Amino acid sequence: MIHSTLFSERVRRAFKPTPRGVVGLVDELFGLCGVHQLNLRFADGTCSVKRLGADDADSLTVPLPKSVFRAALARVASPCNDQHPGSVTPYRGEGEVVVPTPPSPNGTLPSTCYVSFTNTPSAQQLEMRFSRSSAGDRNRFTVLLRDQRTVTVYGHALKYIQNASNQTDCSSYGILSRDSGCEVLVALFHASEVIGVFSGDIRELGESAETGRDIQRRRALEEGGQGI
Amino acid sequence: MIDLGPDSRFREPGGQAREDGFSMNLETGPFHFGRPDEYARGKAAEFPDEGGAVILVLDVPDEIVRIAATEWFPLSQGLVQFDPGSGLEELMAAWSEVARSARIRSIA
Repeated sequence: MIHSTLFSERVRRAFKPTPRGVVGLVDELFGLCGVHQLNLRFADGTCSVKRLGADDADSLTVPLPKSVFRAALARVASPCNDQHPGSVTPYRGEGEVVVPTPPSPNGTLPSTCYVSFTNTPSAQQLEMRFSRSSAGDRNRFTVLLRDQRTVTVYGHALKYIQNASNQTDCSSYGILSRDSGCEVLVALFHASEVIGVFSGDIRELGESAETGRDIQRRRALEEGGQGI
Repeated sequence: MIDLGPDSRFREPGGQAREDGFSMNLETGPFHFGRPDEYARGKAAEFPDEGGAVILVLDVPDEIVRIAATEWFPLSQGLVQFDPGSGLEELMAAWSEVARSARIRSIA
């Protein structure tokens, strides 16, 4: 079954204050990172959250005090320095954070999460990605899009999804991940925008000016649905 | 800063003028956002022309600290965030008294 929990619902739940304050918010974001790779930015009193690779138009905005966002970035930075002293400053840095074991035995949270952040008075942003070592038994799906973007998604399966409510609408390709015993849709790509979806890395095939990725893209365009 | 108190319009190098808050940590912790010495070293690394890393220890009246506690900044997480409307004005009004308790700890 595909769990109906929407990305927007999970984001809004993460940003709902709890007695654990900013610490709780960051824990929620790490939990969310187990399913969705995230990009967060702060501007003009709001935090915009989007999945990596998504258009800006698809981002969610959540009203948030600036001090809360900056404290959340400091909270993210702290374990980076715990694991590698001096590896980040309060203002910027990147590193891997070990995420505590989830309470659910069926949980699929990553054991580590790669974070990259900027926390200066004029710019505040955070990127949270699965660490390669934290993908567990999930597959790495590489999605080639017609607008030249490439998106990497970790999940358990690829699913072709038809729009049952609108037969004239083009279908989509979804990446599914198991989360607490349910299948969760972690990424959805409109079929008309997809060149191909590959399981694993796209290997570099040669030394020519045309890179392996270019060759894969060209072949996929020539052969239609190759790789999907 | 000891003489004048927190400046909510302080502009760090490369920063923009803004109304911003002032954060401290309870001396006893917890230190969920990094230990003060680590934080000071990180700031000193970012701004090497500002005299090096120190920790400023102050005795802030409990009633002002309690005003700063909000749903996002419960005192249980150790960070005390004095924001405009959440304790910053009270802290600045009491600064002359608070500053008398100031101790500076240098960091090796």
